[in-house]
Amino acid sequence: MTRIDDLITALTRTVGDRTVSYNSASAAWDVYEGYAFGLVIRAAVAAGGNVWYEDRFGNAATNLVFRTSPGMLYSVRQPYTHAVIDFRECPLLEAHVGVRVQGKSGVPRGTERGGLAAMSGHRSWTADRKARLADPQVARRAAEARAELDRHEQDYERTLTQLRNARRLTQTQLANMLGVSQAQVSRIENQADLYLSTLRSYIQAMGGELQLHAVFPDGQATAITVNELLEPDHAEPRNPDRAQEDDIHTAFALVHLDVGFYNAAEEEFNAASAA
Amino acid sequence: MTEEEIHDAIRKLREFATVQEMQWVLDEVDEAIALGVPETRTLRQTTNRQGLTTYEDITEPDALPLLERRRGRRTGRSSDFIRRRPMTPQEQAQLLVQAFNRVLADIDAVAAGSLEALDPTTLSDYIDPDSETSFPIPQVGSISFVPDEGSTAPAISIDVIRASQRRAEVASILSEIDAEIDS
Repeated sequence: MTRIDDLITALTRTVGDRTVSYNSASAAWDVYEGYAFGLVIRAAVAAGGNVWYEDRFGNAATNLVFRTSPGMLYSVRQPYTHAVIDFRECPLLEAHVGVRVQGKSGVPRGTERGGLAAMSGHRSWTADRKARLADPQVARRAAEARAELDRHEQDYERTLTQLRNARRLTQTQLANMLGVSQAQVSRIENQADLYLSTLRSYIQAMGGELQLHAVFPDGQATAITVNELLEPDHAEPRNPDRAQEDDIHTAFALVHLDVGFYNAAEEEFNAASAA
Repeated sequence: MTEEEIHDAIRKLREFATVQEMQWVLDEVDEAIALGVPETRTLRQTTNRQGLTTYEDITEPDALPLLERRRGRRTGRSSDFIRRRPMTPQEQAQLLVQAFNRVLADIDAVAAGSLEALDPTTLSDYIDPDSETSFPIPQVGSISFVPDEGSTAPAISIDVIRASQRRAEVASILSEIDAEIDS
């Protein structure tokens, strides 16, 4: 009897009464999905949501039953369960594990590997939303929440597609504004490298203004006026006496990107401004 | 441990896995063993007059004779290559132990975490005390995964809070086996 024999015997004795039979890799993944579900519920509660559990038939549940592999939401083979999350001012949300979701393409995709689907489920989302928004107080709170969300959205970096979606515009609508085809808008959004003029037109069509910032290794940042980069001939003549700080920054960034020079010039500008 | 002893330990560990219905773990370990260990080597490419290209390993230039090193510096055509070398028996045994640890200790910990995360006492820490509309969160008795129509995946159930002491014990024994293999 070697030391290894002793240890394996001890191991067999210790794990002998295991009640979880992970007899496939997918079973191990299921456990992780259960954990991810717990995280979603915790996040929902922390965000002020009320949570309860229901089975496929709308009965309250305390023993949660999920699918071992992605299945259809309407399956009645088992009393599969999900969490219902109520944020009051929003339609009821459901958190599922292992259901197939189907987008506009009509191709169902699994939410396996810890994936969860939060959706309106058995109810009609639109009808539910309309009914709730009929209450003026709910409508006001929803509008406030939307405005708050919009304010937060401005703080995040995002892709052109996300920008357009945030403005509630379709590719076709934006294409009409730009006078190009929808396919061209799609190309712009998926292009790795864009002309500044194309980007400016895209942003302007959404009612925005394109601004560029140069950030230097020492942490200094400066704005660059896009119009000057694109149309130097049409730029307004400079009048040093009336120069704004932004214009000075822009000029220095364009003329000389050397940080030392930039810092010295800015100090001079600040000293002159103070005087 | 001698190589023979390591081979013997591998055989016994595999027997243990088979008894514990962990053939799927052995399959995944075998796959990893077949892939080998990736490593970066610096190879010098030389082509002779007949057009035959050969690669010489110069990853450790100090190990080469001085003349060879000078020649390498002169020709200078070397590149880094990623290649896979076979696992040593010791590495194979340790990979097995590591895999058992993942399945027998780590996944149990995750399973326990799932139920703990849904425990109303735990969740109540996250409820805003000033909130007037929150109502009690229901207790979750068990979490089970059962196959849906057309699925052949086996059912599993997380129906008891996992004993953390047993997890620690399993991890400790596996750590001892690992140390024994390393000795």
